[in-house]
Amino acid sequence: MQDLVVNTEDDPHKGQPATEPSTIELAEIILNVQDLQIGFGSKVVIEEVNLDLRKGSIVSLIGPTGSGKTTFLRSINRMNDKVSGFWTKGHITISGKEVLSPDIDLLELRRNVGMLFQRANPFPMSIRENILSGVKAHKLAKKSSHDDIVRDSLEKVGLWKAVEKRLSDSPFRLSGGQQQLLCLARSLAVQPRVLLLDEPTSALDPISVEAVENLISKLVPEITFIVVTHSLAQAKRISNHTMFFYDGKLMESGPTSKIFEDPEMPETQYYVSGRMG
Amino acid sequence: MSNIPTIDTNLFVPRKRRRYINRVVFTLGTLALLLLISPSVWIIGQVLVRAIPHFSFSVITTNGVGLGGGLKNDIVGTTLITAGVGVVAGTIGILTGIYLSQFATGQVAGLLRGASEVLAGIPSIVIGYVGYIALVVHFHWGFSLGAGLITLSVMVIPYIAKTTEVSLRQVPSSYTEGAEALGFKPTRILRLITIKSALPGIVTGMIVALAISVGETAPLLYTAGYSQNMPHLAFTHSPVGYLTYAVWTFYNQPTVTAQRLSYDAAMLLIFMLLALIASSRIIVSRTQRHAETKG
Repeated sequence: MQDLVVNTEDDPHKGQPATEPSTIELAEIILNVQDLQIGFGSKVVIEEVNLDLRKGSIVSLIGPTGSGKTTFLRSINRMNDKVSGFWTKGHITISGKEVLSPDIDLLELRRNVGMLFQRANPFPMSIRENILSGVKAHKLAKKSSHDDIVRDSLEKVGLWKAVEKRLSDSPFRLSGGQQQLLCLARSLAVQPRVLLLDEPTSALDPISVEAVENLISKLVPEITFIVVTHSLAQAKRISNHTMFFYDGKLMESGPTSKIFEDPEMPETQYYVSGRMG
Repeated sequence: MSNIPTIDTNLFVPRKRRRYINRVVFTLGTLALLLLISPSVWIIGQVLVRAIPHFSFSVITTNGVGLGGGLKNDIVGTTLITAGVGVVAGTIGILTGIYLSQFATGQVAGLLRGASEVLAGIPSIVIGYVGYIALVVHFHWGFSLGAGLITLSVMVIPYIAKTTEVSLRQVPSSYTEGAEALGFKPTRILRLITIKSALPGIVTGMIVALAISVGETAPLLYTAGYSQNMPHLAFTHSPVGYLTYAVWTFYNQPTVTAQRLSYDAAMLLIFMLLALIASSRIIVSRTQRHAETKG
């Protein structure tokens, strides 16, 4: 298994998402960002972010710590709202709907735009209830179909066989990787259109990383992924679009192969070659 | 480089010292534990030794008559008062804790916290006297179950509010963030995630509060009065008996029967406390079987 992981890192084309670039170009634009500026109090944290993202893409957000990747990611599902002094300017639209508008139904937005965190965060309830928590919160299905939803979600993430007989157990008895897959299954159960992943594999072992990455490539084009990652190898492996953030600015954004092989900005060149960050 | 101290490579000398320190700390820890446990063991032992040899079940089944009889009316009285405090102080205290931990900001929060801390510091006999003036005299409730349990509730609400607030604050933010990111309503997050995770702390606060109210005498003397009649469920105008009164009053009587009743009452109080603690443990273990760390 160890070899597998090393091999994929050596070959940037292996493990590329199954979706062909041509089909992505034809797909509808799901996420549009225009002149986005984000700040806390008098400090501007991110500026000049523009992006057109087609359905079924996998986007990597890379850049040094403190460059604004996570802040950008968390403003797509408005998770920064509670942070005191937080403000935004510009536009983020998902399928044409303005995310930053005060009138948007936040609960519905977050059902459509799911999120996976750096550290797996199962809820303190049984494995089964974890999967159903979102379904119940949004009243998405009748009780009679709950069993099917649990099975289907767990099968999608490849956990079904491991937990089939202990659905009523505590999720905290699972390994770290399994917990993260459970959280992914929990997000999938509410049928999101976009999933935001905040360094989802940085706390996992190589085998679990591979499992999560394979899963991401399998879930497109139904779901569009935006992934913050510190692993350049991972960005290369999984994404077809990469955004490089540096010092609160979107330095460069384009097809992953271009960012890694022929970047335009010297900062990008420095970062992707491993001489910075 | 010259500023970096050289590392002592002789590992044996510090190891000996470490062992010595280890032993001293271990001994001090054990001593502290013994000092903590021995009073409770001693008290329980003394009460049991004095109460059990003469204990008869008629104590539980008959009401008090003068300096003799049983303690049935007192047992029912203490149970009613404690249950009432559980409902009144439990509801207000837990809601206050939720408000303070989730919603209160700025001056309102500071004011409420300050008021709660002041209330917790007021001697119970003063609270009893205020209860007497306000409820017994001013509202014309007379000595009664209502006056007793409301006065005791006022006394223990700060404990429940504080423990609730603290334990709600300790719920990992990763739980609430995860629920927010899934699009849960704030009330749903509070109900299914936050309160459930904080339950061990909240229950502990409740138990401490109920234990205080089971064991209080002073505020009840002013408000519940005393009666050897079986409490009938009247909220006002009907004094009730309670076990702590029996402990104190009967102990000071010259007759052996009265003194024996005093020990019986003390033993029953201890049993009530143990039952409270046991039931809290059961509640916590039942609700926390899916928790990250067992409560």
